[in-house]
Amino acid sequence: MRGLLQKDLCLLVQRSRILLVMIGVGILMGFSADGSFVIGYLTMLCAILAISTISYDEFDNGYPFLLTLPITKKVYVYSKYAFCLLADLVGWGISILIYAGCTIARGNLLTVEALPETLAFIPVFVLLTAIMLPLQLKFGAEKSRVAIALIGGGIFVLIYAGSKLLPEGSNMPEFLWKMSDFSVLLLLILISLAAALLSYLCSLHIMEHKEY
Amino acid sequence: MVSVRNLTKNYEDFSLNVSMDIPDGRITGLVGKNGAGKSTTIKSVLGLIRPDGGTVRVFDKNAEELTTKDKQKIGVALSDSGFSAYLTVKDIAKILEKMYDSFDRKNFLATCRHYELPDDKLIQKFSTGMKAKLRVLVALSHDAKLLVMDEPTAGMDVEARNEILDIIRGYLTEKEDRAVLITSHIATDLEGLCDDIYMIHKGKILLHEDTDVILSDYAVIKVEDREFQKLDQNYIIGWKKESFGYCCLTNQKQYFIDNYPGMVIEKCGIDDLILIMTGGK
Repeated sequence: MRGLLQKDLCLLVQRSRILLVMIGVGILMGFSADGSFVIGYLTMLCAILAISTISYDEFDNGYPFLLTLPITKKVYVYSKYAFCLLADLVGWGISILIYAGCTIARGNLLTVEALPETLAFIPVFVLLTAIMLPLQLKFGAEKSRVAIALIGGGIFVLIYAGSKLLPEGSNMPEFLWKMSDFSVLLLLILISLAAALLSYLCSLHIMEHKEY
Repeated sequence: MVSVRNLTKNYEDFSLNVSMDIPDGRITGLVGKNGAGKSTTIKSVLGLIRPDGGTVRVFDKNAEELTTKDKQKIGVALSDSGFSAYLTVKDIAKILEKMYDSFDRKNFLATCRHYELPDDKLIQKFSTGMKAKLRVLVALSHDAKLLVMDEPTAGMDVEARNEILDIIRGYLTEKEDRAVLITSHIATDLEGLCDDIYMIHKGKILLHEDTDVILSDYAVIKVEDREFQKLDQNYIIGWKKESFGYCCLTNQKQYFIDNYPGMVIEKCGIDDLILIMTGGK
């Protein structure tokens, strides 16, 4: 497990220039744009960079050799989730520092009210990671893009069809409006954790049944 | 150390059915043409594919049930798969240090330097020969008991090939309880290295013999059509039609030398063995 994390870290370090440029762009965004856009932008970048380590493992038929190292498929999947979730947190941490720095530099105050909004990025990106990882492991880097587009399209169609099927004037369930920001955040965290667990089990199943 | 019994694996257009043993203290070669089943056999030994039937036992365990501790005792060099090309030798040293208990980082880096593999260069910028050397050095870096090497000398020049073969030979003689399974397209590599040879063709083992016996008792007999009819077929194990007549393979060289004076009887190499056994009848 430690060896696999080291490998992913080394692969990430090889792309540190991209990361540094993107952090620079993030700082510029933080100054020029209001709100928490920079948090979403940088966390997304870190999440994508971490998930892309699967492409590096897959590149040039790398899996057969990788699986002859003293690891099991279960350890491989576990390490990939640990690395990606850690990258989400690190990305979020860096972006929060930039967001806070830029907010203060612009002469604004950091408020407790903004906390749920900024924290909400974590479960959102955990959810994104939970969707992307099994797709990458199942279909590989190239085909998973098509799968992601199809899933995205499917969700859009479902929402559109749902809105058309609902009677005129119907709205979101009333209890959602009554919930506080922190309660919504808690609900989001629970959903993302459940999704991560389900995704992990799916990925494990995919890897166990793959032959190299 | 490795025992393969009636291993079967079926694909749409190919079926493998193999039995073989890799005993301690020996270098076992697996030869055959492209698509003969060498890689499938190796992947089964490494637990990378699930057999449809039969058993593959490594260290007295089913290959698929090998633990991470067991895998520490296996060194692998595959011809078409290795560490990501976006890593450097230094990165690989860091990774191996965390993977293997017996890995000696200083020694590994010194050996890489000895074989002129730069520490800081991305592997994607290595030549084919350099990549092959690195794969072998990685396999040898952690005191493995079993070495599994698929075409380890592919792409190397003659000098580098000899160096690598010397390392593999030396590795086995260092400790008696080590074993090597190796495949190669370069027959002379195997003739000078292997203790015994398995020949595989269309998913089946056609021949298993000690290398010394192949080199001493096997021979290629070249005869014209009319001479071929007169040959004692009991001692001919394969033949191939040629423009001049027939190339026959025998494992009783001395019998033909004694009984057929004047006949063209040539020394048999592994290449001849493959050509006649897989290309003729």
